[in-house]
Amino acid sequence: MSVFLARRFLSFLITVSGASVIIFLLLEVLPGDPALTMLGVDAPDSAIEAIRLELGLDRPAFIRYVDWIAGLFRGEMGLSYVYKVPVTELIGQRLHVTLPLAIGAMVLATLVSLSLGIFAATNHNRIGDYGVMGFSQLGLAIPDFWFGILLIILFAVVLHWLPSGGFPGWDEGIWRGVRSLMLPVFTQALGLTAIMTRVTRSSVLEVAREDFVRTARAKGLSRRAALWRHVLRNALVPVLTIGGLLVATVVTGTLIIENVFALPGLGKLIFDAISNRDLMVVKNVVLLFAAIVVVVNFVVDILYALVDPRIRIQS
Amino acid sequence: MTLLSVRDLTVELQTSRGMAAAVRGVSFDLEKGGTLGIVGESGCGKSITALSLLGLLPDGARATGRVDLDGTDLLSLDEDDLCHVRGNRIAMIFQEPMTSLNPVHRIGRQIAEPLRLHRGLGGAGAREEVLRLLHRVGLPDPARRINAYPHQLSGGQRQRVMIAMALSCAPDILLADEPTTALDVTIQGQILDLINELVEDTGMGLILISHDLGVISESVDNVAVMYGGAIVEQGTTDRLFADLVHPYSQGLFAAVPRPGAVRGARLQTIAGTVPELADLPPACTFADRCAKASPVCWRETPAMTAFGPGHAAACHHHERRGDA
Ligand SMILES: Nc1ncnc2c1ncn2[C@@H]1O[C@H](COP(=O)(O)OP(=O)(O)OP(=O)(O)O)[C@@H](O)[C@H]1O
Ligand SMILES: [Mg+2]
Repeated sequence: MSVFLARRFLSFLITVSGASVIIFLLLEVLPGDPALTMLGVDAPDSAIEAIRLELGLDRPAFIRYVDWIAGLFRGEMGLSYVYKVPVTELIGQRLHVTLPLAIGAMVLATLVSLSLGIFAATNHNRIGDYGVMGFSQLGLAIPDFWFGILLIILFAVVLHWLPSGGFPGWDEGIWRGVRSLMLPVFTQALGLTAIMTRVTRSSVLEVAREDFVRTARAKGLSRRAALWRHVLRNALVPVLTIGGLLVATVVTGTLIIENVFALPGLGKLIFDAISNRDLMVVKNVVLLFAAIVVVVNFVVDILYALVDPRIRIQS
Repeated sequence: MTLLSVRDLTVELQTSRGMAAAVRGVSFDLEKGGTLGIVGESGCGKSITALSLLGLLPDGARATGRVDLDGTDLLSLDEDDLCHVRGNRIAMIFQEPMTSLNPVHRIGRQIAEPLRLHRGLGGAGAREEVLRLLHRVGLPDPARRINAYPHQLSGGQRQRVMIAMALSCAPDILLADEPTTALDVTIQGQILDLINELVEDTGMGLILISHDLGVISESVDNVAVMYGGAIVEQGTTDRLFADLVHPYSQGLFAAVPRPGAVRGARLQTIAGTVPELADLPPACTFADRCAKASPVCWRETPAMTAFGPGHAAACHHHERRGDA
């Protein structure tokens, strides 16, 4: 298991380093002067020169890259060009919104889709199965932002149960914060739930046909007991895989959701940073997104090993 | 004393072409401690027959007839009652030891499961019993292997684990569905010997399914030959092998390479292939592949007719066998 962990951790380091190089190349080295990008082609030469100096763009690319990475290890990400505050500070504030949103959506989607998927599988080819599949088809077909707007119309405009957008900050009380994140979480969870429900259902159905489930039944286990004790754990592996991949969708999805609901989160931050050409912010937040996705997949790998001893013991 | 009595067992399965009978009017008896072999080509309904004894047929299947275990008709039991029979009074082992064990649970836990279920045994008591069983089935180093996962064992060892599991609640009947087919030839003999030895020691009944006449002739007292879902010939092993009556049994036996046969000599096989369930002839299911078939074979299902003491066959032509 420790060999397994070490190997996984190494591949995690390699992936994040690779991501940082790609981000750096795309934003700072490939044709297109970052200073020009930030100020626009019509900016006076003096202004462009000034910002070059300010950002250190006059130095060779390699030095700038090393500087950036070294800064990361010291916990520094430079100053936001627009807000004039450290990027770390900006990210810190915004995480207060985005983390609960993303985790909430993921947890909700997992709970609902596991229940629905298992329900559908145990009612295979019956009305309950068709119902769940129809729902998930709908969930796949509906665009997130549109569903978000529908929720706003229903729960905010018509019923006045929940705020239509914005975020008061956690200082204003947990409950108010939670209330303003509810609709965004539902919105984001919709697509995830639709996909994971399908995966759960087909995975459970597939495992239920395995020989060892027949063995379990031949021992005298009821259908239900065989499902809980022998099917589910095996069926979890594909669900974990897809769940891990979907985290990337959740991360990029915050761009849309936070815009629809006017939430001051990371997605909104990077959206605005791109519009304002705030290079420092874009660079670091994109790397953070990449790191989150890689960390999650690292965790998923560990979960795999916990679920399936064949993975654990091979390595 | 008759332990298991199967009468007119018919099983219809859902196929892509509608319901089709995979088992047709099968009848046999198993004495207490008796051994019965069921032999026949792939697809003739051996496994479906065995699974119907446990009520583990595929979804949508319909079984009719009677399966009496000590006078209780298993076909009329509900799920809960069947769960008390499975693994407790009738245990089953399967062909594929590679896939028949759950890959994510330790084997000790898998063997203990029926003990907990039917005997209420848990903790140290269950562990002790599992160790005893592993020892009994000849798994080397049980104390260490009890914590192994299936993928850490060889095929033969896994089949021993399956046998330990089946044995755990001292069943009245062991159903062994091609228990050696997936194993190396050298291991096959060992597993078969183990099963025979256990049957002798514990006095449980055995229904051994195989398409290998050699395996059958060595291990059981009675044989039923199946074709197209029906038993075409049955009898005591000695008599049946001494005097095969049904054209299908004769063909099946001729298809077995015998020791001493010239290497490379063509294996004599039965002409044609086993048709799909829905395409089986309506009366005698072997009619379309049988050299002796006549119009009556397509019209009337042949009845099981005694051919000698402890030997019967279902063929319109068997009495003429001597003439040919
Ligand atoms: N789940 C199922 N649905 C539909 N038909 C089935 C199903 N299982 C088996 N059958 C059909 O029932 C017939 C009997 O199958 P069975 O598994 O009993 O054969 P078998 O004698 O055990 O063969 P083998 O030696 O290959 O194991 C076959 O024609 C098979 O195609
Ligand atoms: Mg079979």
